[in-house]
Amino acid sequence: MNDMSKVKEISLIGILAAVNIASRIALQSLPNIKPVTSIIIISVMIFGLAFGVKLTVVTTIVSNIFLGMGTWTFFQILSWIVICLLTQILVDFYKKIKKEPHLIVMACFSFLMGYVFGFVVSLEQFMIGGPGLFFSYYTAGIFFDTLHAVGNFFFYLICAPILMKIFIKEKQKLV
Amino acid sequence: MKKFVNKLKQMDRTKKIVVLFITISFVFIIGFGCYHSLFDTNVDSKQEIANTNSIEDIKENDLEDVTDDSNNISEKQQSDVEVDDTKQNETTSQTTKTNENTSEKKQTSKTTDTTTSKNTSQKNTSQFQTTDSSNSHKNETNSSENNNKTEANQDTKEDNNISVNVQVIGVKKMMMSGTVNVENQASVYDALVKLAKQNGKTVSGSSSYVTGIGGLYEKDYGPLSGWMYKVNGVVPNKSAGSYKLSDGDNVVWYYVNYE
Repeated sequence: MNDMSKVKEISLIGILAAVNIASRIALQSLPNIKPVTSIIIISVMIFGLAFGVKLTVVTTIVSNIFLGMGTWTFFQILSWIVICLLTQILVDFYKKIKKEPHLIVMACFSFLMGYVFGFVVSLEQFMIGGPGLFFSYYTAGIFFDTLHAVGNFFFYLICAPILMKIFIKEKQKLV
Repeated sequence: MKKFVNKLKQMDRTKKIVVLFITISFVFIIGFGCYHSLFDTNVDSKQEIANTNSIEDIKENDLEDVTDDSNNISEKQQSDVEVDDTKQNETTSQTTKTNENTSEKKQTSKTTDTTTSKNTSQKNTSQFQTTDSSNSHKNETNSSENNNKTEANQDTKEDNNISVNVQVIGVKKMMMSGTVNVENQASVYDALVKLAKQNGKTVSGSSSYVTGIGGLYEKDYGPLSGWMYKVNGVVPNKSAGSYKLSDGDNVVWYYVNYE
C-alpha cells in the first residue's frame, strides 16, 4: 500500500462512517432498525478486518456524540468488533473451500449478528449488577434484538448487491 | 494444543490484535461481574446473620408506617416542634440556640399547620410540665414545674414498682434490651434512661425529644433520620416524657430514616 492508497482508505472510511452516522441519526425513531451492521459486515468482507474495526470506532464515537455518550459506547464498539471478527472468520472459511458466500447465507448471518450485538451490549449490565440483572436486562431486550436482526436481514439484501459492486471497484483502485 | 498455537501464529497481525482486544475486554467484564455478584451475596448473608426476629418485625412495621400514612411520624415530630416552640416562648432568653436551629429546620421540612399547632401546644405544655426531668434550661427558669414534678414523684413513691420490657434497636443491630423496674406512672423516657444507665450508655436530648442514644444521633443517616418509640407495637402521638407506662408494657426504641 503506497501513500495514495492510504489517503483513499481514510476517505473511504470517512464516507462510510458518514453514511452510518447519518443512518443512525435519521432512523432514530425506528427501534434498532439500522443499516450500520450490514454495512460493517459488507466492508469487512471486501476490505478486511482492520478497515471494519476503524469504521466501527469512528461510527460509534461520532454518532454517540449526537445520540448520547456513555458507558455503552465502549460496549457498542466491542460488540461491532466481535461482529467484524466473526465475519472475518466466515470469510476465511469461504476462502478455504474456495467458494463465494451466497447472498441469502450472508443475510442470515447478519440476522444472527443482531442477537450477538444485543448480547454483547447487555454484558454492560452483567458488569454492573451481576448475572441477575444481566438476565433480566437481556430478556427484556430480546424483542429489540429481534427487530435489529430483521432489519439487518433486509438491509443486507438491499445493500449487498449495490455496495459489493462499488466496493470491489474501490478495492481495485486501492491496491 | 500445538495446532491451536500454530493457528494463532498463522493469523495476520490485525486479527491477532482484535482477538487480543476482545479476549481482554471479555475477561475484564466477566471478572468484574463475578466480583460484583460475589460481593453482593456476601453482604446479603451478613445481613441475614445480623437480623433478629424482632428487628425484622419492626422493619415490616416501619414499611407499613411509611406506606400507609406518614401521619404518625409527622405528628410525633410536630409535637416535638411545638414543645420546642413553647419552650422558647417561656424562657424568652436565647439559651437554646441549638433547639431553635433544629426546630427551624424541622418546620421548613415538615410544613406544619400553624392553627393546629397552637391548639395542641397548650396541651403539650401541660403534659410537659408534669414530667419534664432532664432539661436543665427549663429547670433553671421555671421553678413551678419543679414543684409539680416533686409532687408527682411523691405520689408515685407510694405506689408499687412496675416492670417493663425495653428494647433499643439501632441501625440493623440491637443496641440494648432488657427488663427494667420503674416506678408506677413513670414515663417511657425514664425507663430508657434507667436501661441506658444499666448498660453504661448515654441518652442525649430532653424527655420531650431524644436526639441520641448510645452515640447514635438524629440526622446521622440523613435529614429525616432519628429516634422513635413504640409501646406494645403502637406509635403514640405523645412525647416520650408524657407517655405513662403500665405494668408489662413492651417499649421499643428504634432508629428510623425516612427518605
